[in-house]
Amino acid sequence: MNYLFYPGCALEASSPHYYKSCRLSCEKVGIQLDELEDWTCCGATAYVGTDEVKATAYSARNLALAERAGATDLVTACNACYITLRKSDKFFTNETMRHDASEALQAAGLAYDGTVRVRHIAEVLLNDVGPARIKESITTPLDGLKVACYHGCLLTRPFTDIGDPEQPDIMDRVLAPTGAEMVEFPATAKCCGGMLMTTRREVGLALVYEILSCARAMKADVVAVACPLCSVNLEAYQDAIGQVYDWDRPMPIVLFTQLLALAQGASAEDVGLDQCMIRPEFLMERFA
Amino acid sequence: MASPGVPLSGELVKELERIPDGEKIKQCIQCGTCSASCPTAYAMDYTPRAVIAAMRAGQLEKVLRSDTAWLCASCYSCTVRCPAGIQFTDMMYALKRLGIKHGITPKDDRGQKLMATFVEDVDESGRSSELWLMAKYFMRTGPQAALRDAAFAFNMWRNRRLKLVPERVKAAEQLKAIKRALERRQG
Repeated sequence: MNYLFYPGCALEASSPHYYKSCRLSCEKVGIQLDELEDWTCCGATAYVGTDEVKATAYSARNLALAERAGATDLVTACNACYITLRKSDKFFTNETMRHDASEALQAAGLAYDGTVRVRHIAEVLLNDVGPARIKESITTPLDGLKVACYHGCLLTRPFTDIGDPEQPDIMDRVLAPTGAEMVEFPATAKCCGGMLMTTRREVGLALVYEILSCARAMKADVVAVACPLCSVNLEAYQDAIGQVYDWDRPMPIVLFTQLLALAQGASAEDVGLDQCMIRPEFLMERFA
Repeated sequence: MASPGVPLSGELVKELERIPDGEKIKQCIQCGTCSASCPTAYAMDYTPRAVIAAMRAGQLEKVLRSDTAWLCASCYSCTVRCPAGIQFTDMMYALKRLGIKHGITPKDDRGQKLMATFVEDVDESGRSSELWLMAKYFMRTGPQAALRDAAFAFNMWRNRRLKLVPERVKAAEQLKAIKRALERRQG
């Protein structure tokens, strides 16, 4: 099965290991990701704070391209791209916004009729592939590994139709067939701070410390994430956290697709475990 | 410069007209669920609930000068929990837009600077380059923060997670056309 895929800016730059492991784990369950040609930045959480019509039009350019390519679904692996594209689609249901944004798209020879469904790869793996087929693809189970699945904010907020907005378990259900143990993780949908890590460092550190210390308290070996931005926030500032809080043993952060692909027979190198800022040494040895 | 008071509050309501369920802002019952749900409310000058109260009291300019909207991390906890269905996170975005439109600089303007840098990048190339976004942002906010993050940048580079050459959208003409059409409409 083929899906049209929207990688977004972060997957191309800071998270090539996410893109790589996404492709790998999808291939093992018979899914091919075809990249949307000449996509535009989704606008993230920043553009809409400057000009919401332009933000919607830029973002909807991608939806228009997907529609023209005949796709019913546009799949992304970034939580921020996921909700930004989905919000643009929703904004088209407002008459004034649709009128204004359509006019702008028309000037570029494009049109969006609202037929594309924006989806996140975690939810595609859960609902279109399903745990049974994932289980069939497992060749090297992750027995003994304790995983805290961190969903972050935007996977199930504000759109609550794919999972619980407070305690989502999408990733837990995708990864359960790998044989790893999914620990209970009350902080799974707490906020990582997003851009605040850059603009208000002390606030960002406090938020990430809360998440990481919860994972430690639940005895997780690794935290799995489904977003390139959450990933950087959780792994890159653990030294800084240690300077403010009681945090001296770093917690490795991995993309959930890295774990899935490992269990499907890929090697540590295949999934780019060496690109994790805090290397999960025990996994690198086991899957060398 | 905006005059404080009801007209500006009315402007906020108008800002929200283009957004599905934007009009629900009028139905706030001041229960405080938003403030209790907000992970950064403790650091804000005005909590989310207080923002709506201030708007009703005609104090929006004070809100725009505060750091409240710029401490919103867009986690949407308030939005999914609000019993009145208010799209509060979208309202935070609307506050950011109003501040920019009226030339009001919040007391801590780092958030505004980062956003402006991001928008310039996307306008120019159709893509956001993480490396250049940060580099330009640090030039605007002082070298201290850049030094603080030098180790971070080195780490990213060492792990092959830093892209030096920014990507560009090939159909630059399409982006320009979208931009021109909207600028014409806005006068």
